[in-house]
Amino acid sequence: MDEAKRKAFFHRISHVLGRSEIPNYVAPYAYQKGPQGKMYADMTQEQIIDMFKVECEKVGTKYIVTDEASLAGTILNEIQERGGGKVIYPCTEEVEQYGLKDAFATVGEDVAHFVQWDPAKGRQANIDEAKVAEIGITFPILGIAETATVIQPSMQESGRSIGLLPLTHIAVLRTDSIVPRMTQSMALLADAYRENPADFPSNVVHISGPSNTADIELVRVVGVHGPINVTFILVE
Amino acid sequence: MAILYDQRPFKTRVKESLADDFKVKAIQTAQDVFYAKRKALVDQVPEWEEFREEAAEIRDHVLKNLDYYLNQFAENAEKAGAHVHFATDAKEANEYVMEVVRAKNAKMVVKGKTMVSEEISLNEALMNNGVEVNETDLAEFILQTADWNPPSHIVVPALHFERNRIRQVFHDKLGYNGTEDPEEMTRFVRKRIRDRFLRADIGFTGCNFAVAETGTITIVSNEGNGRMSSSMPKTMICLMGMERLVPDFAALDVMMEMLVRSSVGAKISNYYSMITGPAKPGECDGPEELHIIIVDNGRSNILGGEFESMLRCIRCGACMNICPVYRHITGHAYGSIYPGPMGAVLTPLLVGYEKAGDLPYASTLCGECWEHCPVKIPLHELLLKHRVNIADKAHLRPAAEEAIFKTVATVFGNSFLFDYGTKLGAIGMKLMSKNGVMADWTKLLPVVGGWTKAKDMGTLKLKKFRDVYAEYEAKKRK
Amino acid sequence: MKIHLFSQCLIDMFYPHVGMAGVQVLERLGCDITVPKKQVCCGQMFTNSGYNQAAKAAIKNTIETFENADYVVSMSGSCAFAIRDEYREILKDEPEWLARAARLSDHIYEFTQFIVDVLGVTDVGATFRDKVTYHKSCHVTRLMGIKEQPMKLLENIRGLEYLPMHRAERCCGFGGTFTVKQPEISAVMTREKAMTIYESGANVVAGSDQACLMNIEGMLDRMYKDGEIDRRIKVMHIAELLNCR
Repeated sequence: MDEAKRKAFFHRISHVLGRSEIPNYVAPYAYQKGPQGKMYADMTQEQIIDMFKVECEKVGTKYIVTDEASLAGTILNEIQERGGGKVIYPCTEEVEQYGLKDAFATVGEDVAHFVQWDPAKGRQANIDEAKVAEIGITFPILGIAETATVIQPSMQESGRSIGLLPLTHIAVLRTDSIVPRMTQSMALLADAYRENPADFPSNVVHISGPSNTADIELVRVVGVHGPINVTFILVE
Repeated sequence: MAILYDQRPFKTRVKESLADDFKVKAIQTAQDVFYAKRKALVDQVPEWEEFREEAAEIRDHVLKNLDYYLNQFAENAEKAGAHVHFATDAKEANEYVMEVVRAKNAKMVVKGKTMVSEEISLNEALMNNGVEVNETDLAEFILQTADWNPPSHIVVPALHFERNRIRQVFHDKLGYNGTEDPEEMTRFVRKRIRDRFLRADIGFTGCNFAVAETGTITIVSNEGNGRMSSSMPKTMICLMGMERLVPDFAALDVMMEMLVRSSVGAKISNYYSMITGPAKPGECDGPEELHIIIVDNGRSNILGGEFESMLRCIRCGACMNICPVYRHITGHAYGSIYPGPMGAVLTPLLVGYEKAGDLPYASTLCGECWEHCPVKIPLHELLLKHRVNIADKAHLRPAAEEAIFKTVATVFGNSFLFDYGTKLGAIGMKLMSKNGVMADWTKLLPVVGGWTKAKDMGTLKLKKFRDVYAEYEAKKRK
Repeated sequence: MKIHLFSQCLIDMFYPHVGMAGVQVLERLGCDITVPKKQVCCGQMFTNSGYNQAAKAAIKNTIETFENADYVVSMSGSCAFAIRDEYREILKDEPEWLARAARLSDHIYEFTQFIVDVLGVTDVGATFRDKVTYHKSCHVTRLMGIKEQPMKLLENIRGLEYLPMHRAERCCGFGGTFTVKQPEISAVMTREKAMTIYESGANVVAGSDQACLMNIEGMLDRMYKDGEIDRRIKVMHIAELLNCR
């Protein structure tokens, strides 16, 4: 039944397009009118990173620049800065790589309480932790300079909830993963898909600051359903 | 809400809207704010016209090959684990939704913003089946709480509500005891809806663009409700119009460039989610089941015809942010969930001229909508095509109007009749005038009265330009 | 240069002096003018309402009148637009007329466009001493893309103090038959336009589409009479300004 319905649905479309069935091949759209490929082409990585920072300032997103060696300390500072409390973080390789666990262990319970995302515990347990956390830490894979955006995929080790449910989201981004605009990030995502469609993340979210609204008399209010505070930590 | 939520005569709706000072002011302020923000951004992009050109071409390319791309999208979405369903009309779409509702024994759902759900009256279908519906976009939540008050704008639908009125509604319906401060009220809503997000059986979303190559659906939001609806409930249902496709990720780059700048004058919205299939095994949140319902609901009648370019529309609202008519009559005068110039073109296509034949006349054809449309839809030309269909082909205008136009057209198509007729007219107008201006009492007349009620009107000259020029020429020859 | 003048029916009926100003400006620039008596109306007021069939008499009359001219200059932007861009769509099912319409569309010009682009003149030697603002009519500005030409002409009028108008390119609310079909909406739109004209500080508002100007004039005069604005603002076609010495 459903198959027949689908067929009829498609037949109607093909018919108004003047053919009897769905074509097997369509020459891909050739991108040429738009300037997107040429924009920012002459910029060095340093200039691109600067653009990211300038855009952060323009839209009021907090960012902190640090290096790999000081990252753990920077995160701890920022956690304190944001009032501490319960902190949820993923079990991705960055945690090991940056020695975060050891650093978190040095912090007293009165300052912050750390919980790690743990796929072994299943859905409800993880969401239950994230929903009462004050702070969530994630490691986006890419940044976009033009809009001060970070790109966060979901995965077993790092659920959607971490950067979504807590009041504060701290995103740790490597500066060498910042690209000028969405042209480059989309190309990278397309490559990833083409390489292995089955492994493409089920959810990739672009985050460009704290959630906000202007629905009441156009007055901007920060913090609606998503985080109220966002900090980007840029690792050089 | 159905496509048409107010079927009273157009004139009545206009009159009511024009009389609502707060609403008109709110819409005008919104227009002015969005205009200034958009202009500032677009002025920074010297290549804006090239972007528009490409965006329009991408949309046309997809429309010309819609069967191909839809099929490719469905195959890839299914490969990623989504259930894809095709619905010819509202009834089929709702039936499929209800199948999922029953299978999941769903009692409560959350909804991100989806225009298609309004098109198909999804809320009514759900509520009739005893399902609790929660709109989660702040504006839509306000409207829902105010007994499903209709939207006045496609992007910011509750602008016609003053903060005091919102406070009152929240107080009366939800026991809110706080102030009218927007931030305080927003926090109140956050808390209330947060609980629904976490408990909902199903999350509904719309779809800004669907990517054929990857089977990805994308959702833009600032508040995070789209992200929540697509991340927390175990079952997700995405409703999308069948034209909402792009070929690949590269097209998303162009479309995002156009969408948010055109919509609210921002470079990007806070959240832009790309969803490819349900959560993968081992993921501890996100939808375990993803249903994508692709809705025709009249679109295939538009495809391949003289209004096809309307299907390029990306629902940004730029046309209503600029329209000088919308500016005064607001969304409510259109009586349709799709207001403004795009609504005046689209609504009659979806519901027919009998029900929405007045809308194409709600425009001066000034062309600002076309100039601001990020996908270059010639809205003013499409409005004119509607008028031709209504007046010339279907003869749906009042018979008296048609008769007047035909008579006047005969006179204005022949210089002898014109010369003679306007001489008579000049004498007539002289009788109706005082000091060369049409007299006050002419307000009472049909047609002329529409003008003289608000504006002065000079009289026809007994000696027309042609006469003056003839004398001038004769004198010169002498 | 030999030109045929399309005066527009509104100018013919209500504003003969505007037509004469156009004639005198063009003559001074060396044009040899013909004003065909056969001309009446471009047909736009009917096509604008969707009555294409009824409009054909006016359209064909216009084509017959002007098709053999070297240059046709229209005193009204929206008529020029109709003739240049809309006739072919309306006559698409009549191949012979379509071809004739296409020929005409190649040599029809709006008044300011003709002076600047064809005659290559931006200074007509006019003098006008007052504060002037300019309404950028929709058809001329947006649909015909004539944006710079009138501005250049205004710039070179001696003594003229140009005052910009907020959102000068926003529709005045005339919209052809819109103004009589939707008088309530038209009135609030025109009122807003009139207020921006008033707020510009100008004593004169000019334009190159007499229909818009007639609409604006009606509102400004009424508002002055009713005491809503405290100074009389004169409405003038740009040809009148260019004709002042």
